[in-house]
Amino acid sequence: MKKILLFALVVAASLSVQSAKAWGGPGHTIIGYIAEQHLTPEAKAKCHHYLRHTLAYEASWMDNWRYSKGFKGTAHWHIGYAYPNRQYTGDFRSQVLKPESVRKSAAYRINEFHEQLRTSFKEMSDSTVQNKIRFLIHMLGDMHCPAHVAIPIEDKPTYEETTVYNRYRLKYKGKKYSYHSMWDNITNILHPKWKVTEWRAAADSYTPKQRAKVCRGDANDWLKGTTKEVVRSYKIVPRDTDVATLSDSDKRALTEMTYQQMAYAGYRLAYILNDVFKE
Amino acid sequence: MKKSILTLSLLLFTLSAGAWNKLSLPAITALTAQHLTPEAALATKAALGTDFAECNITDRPKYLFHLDEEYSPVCEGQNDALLVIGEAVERLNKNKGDKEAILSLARAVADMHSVANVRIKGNDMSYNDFTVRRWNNRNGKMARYKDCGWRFLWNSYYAYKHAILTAELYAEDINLYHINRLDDFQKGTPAEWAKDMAAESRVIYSRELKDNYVLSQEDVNYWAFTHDRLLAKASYRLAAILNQIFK
Repeated sequence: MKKILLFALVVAASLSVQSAKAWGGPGHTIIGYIAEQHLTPEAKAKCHHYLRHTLAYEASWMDNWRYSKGFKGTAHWHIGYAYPNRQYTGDFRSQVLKPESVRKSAAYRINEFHEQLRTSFKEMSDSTVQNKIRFLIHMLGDMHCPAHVAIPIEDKPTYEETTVYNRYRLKYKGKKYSYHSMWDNITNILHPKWKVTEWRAAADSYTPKQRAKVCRGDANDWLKGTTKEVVRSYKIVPRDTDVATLSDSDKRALTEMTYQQMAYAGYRLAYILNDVFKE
Repeated sequence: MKKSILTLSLLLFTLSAGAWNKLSLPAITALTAQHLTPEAALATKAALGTDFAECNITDRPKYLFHLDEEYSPVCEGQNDALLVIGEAVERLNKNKGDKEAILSLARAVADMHSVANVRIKGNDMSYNDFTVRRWNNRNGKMARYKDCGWRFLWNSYYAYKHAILTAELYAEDINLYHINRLDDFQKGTPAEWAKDMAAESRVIYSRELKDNYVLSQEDVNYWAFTHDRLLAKASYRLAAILNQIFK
Protein backbone atom coordinates (compact mmCIF):
# COMPACT_ATOMS: atom_id res chain seq x y z
CA MET A 1 0.00 0.00 0.00
CA LYS A 2 2.85 2.33 0.92
CA LYS A 3 4.39 1.66 -2.47
CA ILE A 4 1.19 2.73 -4.22
CA LEU A 5 1.10 5.88 -2.15
CA LEU A 6 4.73 6.64 -2.92
CA PHE A 7 4.16 6.02 -6.63
CA ALA A 8 1.17 8.36 -6.65
CA LEU A 9 3.23 11.06 -4.92
CA VAL A 10 6.08 10.70 -7.40
CA VAL A 11 3.71 10.94 -10.38
CA ALA A 12 1.99 13.96 -8.88
CA ALA A 13 5.34 15.67 -8.30
CA SER A 14 6.58 14.91 -11.81
CA LEU A 15 3.42 16.32 -13.33
CA SER A 16 3.76 19.60 -11.50
CA VAL A 17 7.44 19.84 -12.45
CA GLN A 18 6.55 19.18 -16.09
CA SER A 19 4.01 21.97 -15.99
CA ALA A 20 6.50 24.45 -14.60
CA LYS A 21 9.23 23.48 -17.06
CA ALA A 22 7.00 23.54 -20.12
CA TRP A 23 6.86 27.28 -19.91
CA GLY A 24 9.76 29.40 -21.12
CA GLY A 25 10.47 33.06 -21.76
CA PRO A 26 8.55 34.77 -18.94
CA GLY A 27 11.30 37.35 -18.54
CA HIS A 28 10.98 38.28 -22.20
CA THR A 29 7.22 38.59 -21.83
CA ILE A 30 7.66 40.97 -18.89
CA ILE A 31 10.06 43.14 -20.89
CA GLY A 32 7.66 43.25 -23.84
CA TYR A 33 4.84 44.19 -21.50
CA ILE A 34 6.85 46.99 -19.86
CA ALA A 35 7.86 48.32 -23.29
CA GLU A 36 4.24 48.27 -24.46
CA GLN A 37 3.26 50.57 -21.57
CA HIS A 38 5.78 53.15 -22.77
CA LEU A 39 4.92 53.21 -26.46
CA THR A 40 3.40 56.34 -27.91
CA PRO A 41 -0.14 55.79 -29.27
CA GLU A 42 1.30 56.00 -32.83
CA ALA A 43 4.03 53.44 -32.17
CA LYS A 44 1.60 51.12 -30.39
CA ALA A 45 -0.85 51.25 -33.30
CA LYS A 46 1.95 50.56 -35.80
CA CYS A 47 3.35 47.67 -33.77
CA HIS A 48 -0.10 46.11 -33.44
CA HIS A 49 -0.66 46.61 -37.15
CA TYR A 50 2.54 44.81 -38.13
CA LEU A 51 2.63 42.15 -35.39
CA ARG A 52 -1.11 41.57 -34.94
CA HIS A 53 -0.04 40.83 -31.41
CA THR A 54 1.32 42.71 -28.42
CA LEU A 55 5.07 42.99 -27.83
CA ALA A 56 4.64 40.70 -24.79
CA TYR A 57 3.10 37.90 -26.84
CA GLU A 58 5.81 38.06 -29.51
CA ALA A 59 8.69 38.31 -27.06
CA SER A 60 9.88 34.71 -27.53
CA TRP A 61 9.26 34.45 -31.26
CA MET A 62 12.98 34.52 -31.99
CA ASP A 63 13.57 31.59 -29.61
CA ASN A 64 10.65 29.62 -31.02
CA TRP A 65 12.13 29.70 -34.53
CA ARG A 66 15.80 29.72 -33.53
CA TYR A 67 16.88 26.53 -35.29
CA SER A 68 14.32 26.53 -38.08
CA LYS A 69 15.10 26.93 -41.75
CA GLY A 70 16.04 30.51 -42.56
CA PHE A 71 17.02 31.36 -38.96
CA LYS A 72 20.27 29.46 -38.65
CA GLY A 73 22.46 32.55 -39.02
CA THR A 74 20.75 34.26 -36.09
CA ALA A 75 22.18 32.23 -33.18
CA HIS A 76 24.73 34.94 -32.27
CA TRP A 77 22.10 37.65 -32.35
CA HIS A 78 20.94 36.34 -28.97
CA ILE A 79 24.27 37.24 -27.38
CA GLY A 80 25.98 40.45 -26.42
CA TYR A 81 29.72 39.94 -26.80
CA ALA A 82 31.19 42.45 -24.37
CA TYR A 83 34.59 42.54 -26.09
CA PRO A 84 33.80 41.94 -29.76
CA ASN A 85 37.42 42.27 -30.84
CA ARG A 86 38.60 39.36 -28.70
CA GLN A 87 38.48 35.65 -29.41
CA TYR A 88 35.55 33.63 -28.13
CA THR A 89 34.70 29.95 -28.03
CA GLY A 90 31.22 28.56 -28.47
CA ASP A 91 29.38 25.52 -27.15
CA PHE A 92 32.61 23.51 -27.11
CA ARG A 93 36.01 24.84 -26.04
CA SER A 94 37.61 23.62 -29.25
CA GLN A 95 35.20 25.71 -31.31
CA VAL A 96 36.52 29.23 -31.99
CA LEU A 97 33.79 31.57 -33.11
CA LYS A 98 34.17 33.49 -36.36
CA PRO A 99 35.13 37.12 -35.60
CA GLU A 100 32.33 38.23 -37.92
CA SER A 101 29.74 36.34 -35.81
CA VAL A 102 31.06 37.91 -32.63
CA ARG A 103 31.15 41.41 -34.07
CA LYS A 104 27.69 41.23 -35.67
CA SER A 105 25.84 40.01 -32.57
CA ALA A 106 23.01 41.53 -30.50
CA ALA A 107 24.24 45.13 -30.06
CA TYR A 108 25.28 45.42 -33.71
CA ARG A 109 21.95 44.01 -34.97
CA ILE A 110 19.88 46.20 -32.65
CA ASN A 111 21.58 49.33 -33.98
CA GLU A 112 21.34 48.03 -37.54
CA PHE A 113 17.61 47.19 -37.38
CA HIS A 114 16.84 50.42 -35.54
CA GLU A 115 18.49 52.44 -38.31
CA GLN A 116 16.94 50.39 -41.14
CA LEU A 117 13.44 50.72 -39.73
CA ARG A 118 13.88 54.39 -38.86
CA THR A 119 14.98 55.36 -42.34
CA SER A 120 12.90 53.07 -44.52
CA PHE A 121 10.20 50.99 -42.85
CA LYS A 122 7.66 52.47 -45.29
CA GLU A 123 9.52 50.97 -48.24
CA MET A 124 9.73 47.51 -46.64
CA SER A 125 7.15 44.75 -46.97
CA ASP A 126 4.88 44.26 -43.95
CA SER A 127 6.46 40.89 -43.15
CA THR A 128 9.98 42.41 -43.19
CA VAL A 129 8.94 45.13 -40.74
CA GLN A 130 7.12 42.53 -38.66
CA ASN A 131 10.18 40.30 -38.37
CA LYS A 132 12.55 43.16 -37.60
CA ILE A 133 10.29 44.29 -34.76
CA ARG A 134 10.15 40.70 -33.46
CA PHE A 135 13.95 40.47 -33.57
CA LEU A 136 14.30 43.78 -31.74
CA ILE A 137 11.88 42.73 -28.97
CA HIS A 138 13.86 39.59 -28.27
CA MET A 139 17.38 40.95 -28.76
CA LEU A 140 16.77 43.86 -26.39
CA GLY A 141 15.61 41.32 -23.81
CA ASP A 142 18.54 39.00 -24.35
CA MET A 143 21.13 41.75 -24.28
CA HIS A 144 19.91 42.88 -20.86
CA CYS A 145 19.97 39.38 -19.39
CA PRO A 146 23.33 38.85 -17.67
CA ALA A 147 23.46 35.24 -18.90
CA HIS A 148 23.45 36.44 -22.49
CA VAL A 149 26.41 38.76 -22.18
CA ALA A 150 29.64 36.98 -22.93
CA ILE A 151 32.51 38.18 -20.78
CA PRO A 152 35.35 36.37 -19.03
CA ILE A 153 34.73 34.88 -15.63
CA GLU A 154 36.46 37.02 -13.04
CA ASP A 155 38.66 34.36 -11.48
CA LYS A 156 39.68 32.98 -14.87
CA PRO A 157 40.58 36.02 -16.90
CA THR A 158 40.66 34.33 -20.24
CA TYR A 159 38.35 35.50 -22.95
CA GLU A 160 37.58 31.93 -23.89
CA GLU A 161 35.52 31.51 -20.72
CA THR A 162 32.02 32.87 -20.81
CA THR A 163 28.91 32.59 -18.71
CA VAL A 164 26.80 32.24 -21.83
CA TYR A 165 27.90 28.67 -22.46
CA ASN A 166 27.20 27.34 -18.97
CA ARG A 167 30.77 27.22 -17.69
CA TYR A 168 30.00 29.22 -14.57
CA ARG A 169 28.72 26.55 -12.21
CA LEU A 170 26.27 27.12 -9.39
CA LYS A 171 23.99 24.81 -7.42
CA TYR A 172 20.27 24.63 -6.89
CA LYS A 173 19.07 22.66 -3.84
CA GLY A 174 22.40 20.83 -3.79
CA LYS A 175 22.23 19.82 -7.46
CA LYS A 176 24.36 21.05 -10.34
CA TYR A 177 23.10 24.30 -11.81
CA SER A 178 24.56 26.98 -14.02
CA TYR A 179 24.63 30.76 -13.98
CA HIS A 180 22.77 30.66 -17.30
CA SER A 181 20.01 28.43 -15.89
CA MET A 182 19.64 30.75 -12.92
CA TRP A 183 18.84 33.68 -15.19
CA ASP A 184 16.63 31.59 -17.47
CA ASN A 185 14.55 30.67 -14.41
CA ILE A 186 14.89 33.91 -12.48
CA THR A 187 11.15 34.67 -12.49
CA ASN A 188 10.43 31.27 -10.95
CA ILE A 189 13.22 31.69 -8.41
CA LEU A 190 12.14 35.14 -7.25
CA HIS A 191 8.36 35.30 -7.66
CA PRO A 192 6.98 32.05 -9.09
CA LYS A 193 3.34 33.09 -8.76
CA TRP A 194 3.55 36.63 -10.08
CA LYS A 195 1.81 37.62 -13.27
CA VAL A 196 3.23 40.13 -15.71
CA THR A 197 1.21 42.95 -14.14
CA GLU A 198 2.81 42.35 -10.73
CA TRP A 199 6.29 42.24 -12.27
CA ARG A 200 5.64 45.49 -14.03
CA ALA A 201 4.38 47.13 -10.83
CA ALA A 202 7.65 46.20 -9.13
CA ALA A 203 10.11 46.88 -11.96
CA ASP A 204 8.68 49.81 -13.88
CA SER A 205 9.34 52.42 -11.20
CA TYR A 206 11.52 55.03 -12.94
CA THR A 207 10.60 58.68 -13.43
CA PRO A 208 10.38 60.13 -16.97
CA LYS A 209 13.70 61.89 -16.37
CA GLN A 210 15.35 58.67 -15.25
CA ARG A 211 13.90 56.80 -18.22
CA ALA A 212 15.27 59.40 -20.62
CA LYS A 213 18.70 58.98 -19.05
CA VAL A 214 18.49 55.18 -19.33
CA CYS A 215 17.78 55.48 -23.06
CA ARG A 216 20.75 57.71 -23.88
CA GLY A 217 23.31 56.33 -26.33
CA ASP A 218 22.88 53.23 -28.45
CA ALA A 219 23.01 49.45 -28.05
CA ASN A 220 26.80 49.43 -27.69
CA ASP A 221 26.55 51.73 -24.68
CA TRP A 222 23.73 49.67 -23.21
CA LEU A 223 25.78 46.50 -23.59
CA LYS A 224 28.59 48.11 -21.58
CA GLY A 225 26.07 48.80 -18.80
CA THR A 226 24.91 45.19 -18.73
CA THR A 227 28.51 44.01 -18.70
CA LYS A 228 29.05 45.93 -15.44
CA GLU A 229 25.96 44.25 -14.01
CA VAL A 230 27.32 40.82 -14.94
CA VAL A 231 30.54 41.53 -13.03
CA ARG A 232 28.46 42.76 -10.07
CA SER A 233 26.35 39.59 -10.20
CA TYR A 234 29.48 37.43 -9.77
CA LYS A 235 29.84 38.96 -6.31
CA ILE A 236 26.20 38.28 -5.42
CA VAL A 237 26.29 34.67 -6.66
CA PRO A 238 29.92 33.49 -6.60
CA ARG A 239 30.76 30.15 -8.18
CA ASP A 240 29.29 27.08 -6.46
CA THR A 241 26.69 29.16 -4.61
CA ASP A 242 23.43 27.34 -3.92
CA VAL A 243 20.86 29.68 -5.45
CA ALA A 244 18.06 28.16 -3.35
CA THR A 245 19.74 29.29 -0.12
CA LEU A 246 20.83 32.84 -0.91
CA SER A 247 20.96 35.18 2.08
CA ASP A 248 18.20 37.76 2.31
CA SER A 249 20.55 40.58 1.32
CA ASP A 250 21.90 38.65 -1.70
CA LYS A 251 18.40 37.71 -2.78
CA ARG A 252 17.38 41.35 -2.46
CA ALA A 253 20.36 42.46 -4.54
CA LEU A 254 19.58 39.86 -7.21
CA THR A 255 15.92 40.92 -7.21
CA GLU A 256 16.82 44.59 -7.63
CA MET A 257 19.20 43.75 -10.46
CA THR A 258 16.49 41.72 -12.19
CA TYR A 259 13.95 44.55 -11.91
CA GLN A 260 16.51 47.03 -13.21
CA GLN A 261 17.55 44.97 -16.22
CA MET A 262 13.96 44.21 -17.20
CA ALA A 263 12.97 47.86 -16.89
CA TYR A 264 16.01 49.08 -18.84
CA ALA A 265 15.32 46.60 -21.64
CA GLY A 266 11.66 47.59 -21.77
CA TYR A 267 12.39 51.33 -21.80
CA ARG A 268 15.04 51.00 -24.49
CA LEU A 269 12.82 48.83 -26.66
CA ALA A 270 10.02 51.38 -26.36
CA TYR A 271 12.51 54.17 -27.11
CA ILE A 272 13.59 52.48 -30.36
CA LEU A 273 10.04 51.74 -31.50
CA ASN A 274 8.84 55.24 -30.62
CA ASP A 275 11.74 56.63 -32.63
CA VAL A 276 10.95 54.40 -35.62
CA PHE A 277 7.23 55.17 -35.65
CA LYS A 278 7.36 58.78 -34.52
CA GLU A 279 5.13 60.28 -37.18
CA MET B 1 -4.91 4.85 3.87
CA LYS B 2 -7.69 4.27 1.35
CA LYS B 3 -8.80 7.85 1.89
CA SER B 4 -5.25 9.10 1.18
CA ILE B 5 -5.06 7.13 -2.05
CA LEU B 6 -8.43 8.45 -3.14
CA THR B 7 -7.32 12.00 -2.40
CA LEU B 8 -4.09 11.49 -4.31
CA SER B 9 -5.93 9.95 -7.25
CA LEU B 10 -8.17 12.99 -7.37
CA LEU B 11 -5.12 15.23 -7.18
CA LEU B 12 -3.52 13.34 -10.07
CA PHE B 13 -6.69 13.66 -12.11
CA THR B 14 -6.83 17.38 -11.39
CA LEU B 15 -3.18 17.87 -12.34
CA SER B 16 -3.45 15.98 -15.60
CA ALA B 17 -6.86 17.14 -16.72
CA GLY B 18 -6.97 20.49 -14.99
CA ALA B 19 -4.06 22.24 -16.62
CA TRP B 20 -6.08 23.31 -19.65
CA ASN B 21 -8.78 24.54 -17.41
CA LYS B 22 -6.50 26.77 -15.39
CA LEU B 23 -5.22 28.87 -18.27
CA SER B 24 -7.18 28.51 -21.48
CA LEU B 25 -10.69 28.45 -20.09
CA PRO B 26 -10.40 31.77 -18.20
CA ALA B 27 -9.02 33.28 -21.42
CA ILE B 28 -12.06 31.98 -23.32
CA THR B 29 -14.51 33.48 -20.81
CA ALA B 30 -12.54 36.75 -20.79
CA LEU B 31 -12.58 36.97 -24.59
CA THR B 32 -16.25 35.97 -24.77
CA ALA B 33 -17.07 38.76 -22.32
CA GLN B 34 -15.42 41.29 -24.64
CA HIS B 35 -17.89 40.35 -27.39
CA LEU B 36 -21.13 40.18 -25.44
CA THR B 37 -23.78 42.75 -26.24
CA PRO B 38 -24.65 45.00 -23.26
CA GLU B 39 -27.92 43.06 -22.91
CA ALA B 40 -26.18 39.69 -22.82
CA ALA B 41 -23.53 40.98 -20.43
CA LEU B 42 -26.23 42.23 -18.03
CA ALA B 43 -28.36 39.10 -18.31
CA THR B 44 -25.44 36.72 -17.74
CA LYS B 45 -24.27 38.83 -14.80
CA ALA B 46 -27.74 38.65 -13.27
CA ALA B 47 -27.84 34.87 -13.71
CA LEU B 48 -24.27 34.15 -12.63
CA GLY B 49 -23.96 36.76 -9.90
CA THR B 50 -20.66 37.89 -11.46
CA ASP B 51 -19.32 39.32 -14.71
CA PHE B 52 -19.10 36.69 -17.41
CA ALA B 53 -15.31 37.20 -17.61
CA GLU B 54 -15.05 36.12 -13.99
CA CYS B 55 -17.21 33.00 -14.19
CA ASN B 56 -15.46 29.79 -13.33
CA ILE B 57 -15.93 26.95 -15.79
CA THR B 58 -12.68 25.20 -14.96
CA ASP B 59 -14.09 22.95 -12.25
CA ARG B 60 -16.92 21.65 -14.42
CA PRO B 61 -17.03 18.23 -16.10
CA LYS B 62 -15.16 17.88 -19.39
CA TYR B 63 -17.06 17.26 -22.63
CA LEU B 64 -15.96 15.39 -25.73
CA PHE B 65 -16.51 16.05 -29.41
CA HIS B 66 -17.23 12.97 -31.55
CA LEU B 67 -16.67 12.41 -35.26
CA ASP B 68 -17.42 9.37 -37.41
CA GLU B 69 -14.93 7.75 -39.84
CA GLU B 70 -15.77 10.38 -42.46
CA TYR B 71 -15.13 13.23 -40.03
CA SER B 72 -18.83 14.06 -39.73
CA PRO B 73 -19.91 15.25 -36.27
CA VAL B 74 -22.00 12.75 -34.31
CA CYS B 75 -23.53 12.87 -30.82
CA GLU B 76 -22.39 10.10 -28.54
CA GLY B 77 -22.91 9.60 -24.82
CA GLN B 78 -23.87 11.88 -21.97
CA ASN B 79 -20.74 14.01 -22.02
CA ASP B 80 -20.99 14.94 -25.67
CA ALA B 81 -20.30 18.64 -26.24
CA LEU B 82 -22.78 19.05 -29.11
CA LEU B 83 -25.53 17.38 -27.13
CA VAL B 84 -24.86 19.57 -24.09
CA ILE B 85 -24.84 22.73 -26.22
CA GLY B 86 -28.27 21.82 -27.64
CA GLU B 87 -29.71 21.04 -24.21
CA ALA B 88 -28.27 24.18 -22.61
CA VAL B 89 -29.66 26.44 -25.35
CA GLU B 90 -33.08 24.85 -24.95
CA ARG B 91 -32.99 25.37 -21.18
CA LEU B 92 -31.90 28.98 -21.54
CA ASN B 93 -34.62 29.74 -24.03
CA LYS B 94 -37.09 28.55 -21.39
CA ASN B 95 -35.37 30.19 -18.42
CA LYS B 96 -32.87 32.96 -19.06
CA GLY B 97 -31.73 32.93 -15.45
CA ASP B 98 -30.54 29.30 -15.58
CA LYS B 99 -27.00 29.65 -14.21
CA GLU B 100 -26.16 25.96 -14.63
CA ALA B 101 -27.19 26.05 -18.29
CA ILE B 102 -24.93 29.08 -18.98
CA LEU B 103 -21.95 27.40 -17.35
CA SER B 104 -22.56 24.07 -19.13
CA LEU B 105 -22.94 25.88 -22.44
CA ALA B 106 -19.70 27.80 -21.92
CA ARG B 107 -17.75 24.69 -21.01
CA ALA B 108 -19.22 22.63 -23.85
CA VAL B 109 -18.47 25.26 -26.52
CA ALA B 110 -14.93 25.58 -25.17
CA ASP B 111 -14.39 21.82 -25.06
CA MET B 112 -15.75 21.31 -28.56
CA HIS B 113 -12.87 23.47 -29.80
CA SER B 114 -10.09 21.56 -28.09
CA VAL B 115 -8.15 19.13 -30.26
CA ALA B 116 -7.51 16.95 -27.20
CA ASN B 117 -11.24 16.40 -26.75
CA VAL B 118 -11.88 15.12 -30.28
CA ARG B 119 -12.72 11.42 -30.64
CA ILE B 120 -12.75 10.02 -34.17
CA LYS B 121 -14.32 6.63 -34.82
CA GLY B 122 -11.72 4.23 -36.18
CA ASN B 123 -8.83 6.50 -35.21
CA ASP B 124 -7.16 5.00 -32.13
CA MET B 125 -4.80 7.94 -31.70
CA SER B 126 -7.75 10.18 -30.86
CA TYR B 127 -8.89 7.80 -28.11
CA ASN B 128 -5.52 7.17 -26.47
CA ASP B 129 -3.11 9.73 -25.17
CA PHE B 130 0.39 9.24 -26.54
CA THR B 131 3.82 10.82 -26.31
CA VAL B 132 5.00 13.55 -28.64
CA ARG B 133 8.64 14.65 -28.75
CA ARG B 134 9.36 18.34 -29.28
CA TRP B 135 12.67 18.37 -31.13
CA ASN B 136 14.93 21.44 -30.99
CA ASN B 137 15.81 21.00 -34.69
CA ARG B 138 19.47 20.36 -33.88
CA ASN B 139 21.45 17.26 -34.69
CA GLY B 140 24.28 15.32 -33.06
CA LYS B 141 25.38 16.33 -29.56
CA MET B 142 23.10 19.36 -29.50
CA ALA B 143 19.89 17.47 -30.36
CA ARG B 144 17.32 17.70 -27.56
CA TYR B 145 13.82 16.25 -27.21
CA LYS B 146 11.19 17.37 -24.74
CA ASP B 147 8.51 14.76 -24.28
CA CYS B 148 4.92 15.43 -23.36
CA GLY B 149 1.51 13.90 -23.86
CA TRP B 150 -0.54 14.65 -26.96
CA ARG B 151 -3.39 15.96 -24.85
CA PHE B 152 -1.04 18.00 -22.70
CA LEU B 153 0.29 19.60 -25.87
CA TRP B 154 -3.14 20.85 -26.87
CA ASN B 155 -4.65 21.51 -23.47
CA SER B 156 -1.71 23.07 -21.68
CA TYR B 157 1.57 23.48 -23.53
CA TYR B 158 0.64 26.40 -25.74
CA ALA B 159 -1.23 28.26 -23.03
CA TYR B 160 1.63 27.70 -20.57
CA LYS B 161 3.96 29.52 -22.93
CA HIS B 162 1.95 32.62 -22.05
CA ALA B 163 1.15 31.66 -18.48
CA ILE B 164 2.70 34.80 -17.04
CA LEU B 165 0.02 36.85 -18.81
CA THR B 166 -3.29 37.29 -17.04
CA ALA B 167 -6.30 35.65 -18.69
CA GLU B 168 -7.49 39.11 -19.76
CA LEU B 169 -4.17 39.99 -21.40
CA TYR B 170 -3.98 36.62 -23.13
CA ALA B 171 -7.53 37.10 -24.38
CA GLU B 172 -6.66 40.59 -25.61
CA ASP B 173 -3.80 39.16 -27.63
CA ILE B 174 -5.89 36.38 -29.16
CA ASN B 175 -8.42 39.03 -30.08
CA LEU B 176 -5.84 41.33 -31.64
CA TYR B 177 -4.80 38.59 -34.05
CA HIS B 178 -8.28 37.27 -34.93
CA ILE B 179 -10.62 40.24 -34.65
CA ASN B 180 -10.78 40.74 -38.41
CA ARG B 181 -12.24 37.23 -38.70
CA LEU B 182 -14.90 37.72 -36.03
CA ASP B 183 -17.85 37.66 -38.46
CA ASP B 184 -16.40 34.73 -40.36
CA PHE B 185 -15.94 32.67 -37.18
CA GLN B 186 -19.38 33.55 -35.78
CA LYS B 187 -21.29 32.85 -38.96
CA GLY B 188 -23.54 29.76 -38.85
CA THR B 189 -25.07 27.51 -36.21
CA PRO B 190 -23.50 25.16 -33.65
CA ALA B 191 -24.00 22.32 -36.14
CA GLU B 192 -22.03 24.23 -38.78
CA TRP B 193 -19.33 25.12 -36.26
CA ALA B 194 -19.06 21.43 -35.48
CA LYS B 195 -18.39 20.76 -39.17
CA ASP B 196 -15.75 23.49 -39.14
CA MET B 197 -14.13 21.90 -36.10
CA ALA B 198 -14.27 18.55 -37.89
CA ALA B 199 -12.31 20.11 -40.77
CA GLU B 200 -9.73 21.49 -38.32
CA SER B 201 -9.45 18.03 -36.74
CA ARG B 202 -9.03 16.33 -40.11
CA VAL B 203 -5.97 18.47 -40.89
CA ILE B 204 -4.36 17.46 -37.60
CA TYR B 205 -5.39 13.80 -37.40
CA SER B 206 -4.65 13.09 -41.07
CA ARG B 207 -0.97 13.03 -40.11
CA GLU B 208 0.41 9.58 -39.42
CA LEU B 209 0.43 10.13 -35.69
CA LYS B 210 2.07 7.49 -33.52
CA ASP B 211 3.58 7.11 -30.07
CA ASN B 212 6.81 9.17 -29.76
CA TYR B 213 5.75 11.32 -32.71
CA VAL B 214 8.51 13.86 -33.35
CA LEU B 215 7.54 17.49 -33.76
CA SER B 216 10.01 19.90 -35.32
CA GLN B 217 10.12 23.56 -34.27
CA GLU B 218 8.09 24.36 -37.38
CA ASP B 219 5.39 21.84 -36.41
CA VAL B 220 5.16 23.20 -32.88
CA ASN B 221 4.99 26.79 -34.12
CA TYR B 222 2.48 26.01 -36.84
CA TRP B 223 0.14 24.32 -34.36
CA ALA B 224 0.41 27.33 -32.04
CA PHE B 225 -1.59 29.21 -34.69
CA THR B 226 -4.18 26.40 -34.71
CA HIS B 227 -4.38 26.46 -30.91
CA ASP B 228 -4.96 30.21 -30.76
CA ARG B 229 -7.42 30.14 -33.64
CA LEU B 230 -9.51 27.50 -31.85
CA LEU B 231 -9.49 29.60 -28.68
CA ALA B 232 -10.74 32.56 -30.71
CA LYS B 233 -13.42 30.48 -32.44
CA ALA B 234 -14.67 29.08 -29.13
CA SER B 235 -14.86 32.54 -27.57
CA TYR B 236 -16.48 34.32 -30.51
CA ARG B 237 -19.02 31.53 -31.00
CA LEU B 238 -19.92 31.37 -27.32
CA ALA B 239 -20.52 35.12 -27.43
CA ALA B 240 -22.67 34.70 -30.55
CA ILE B 241 -24.91 32.08 -28.87
CA LEU B 242 -25.30 34.14 -25.70
CA ASN B 243 -26.02 37.32 -27.66
CA GLN B 244 -28.70 35.46 -29.60
CA ILE B 245 -30.31 34.00 -26.46
CA PHE B 246 -30.33 37.31 -24.59
CA LYS B 247 -31.36 39.46 -27.53
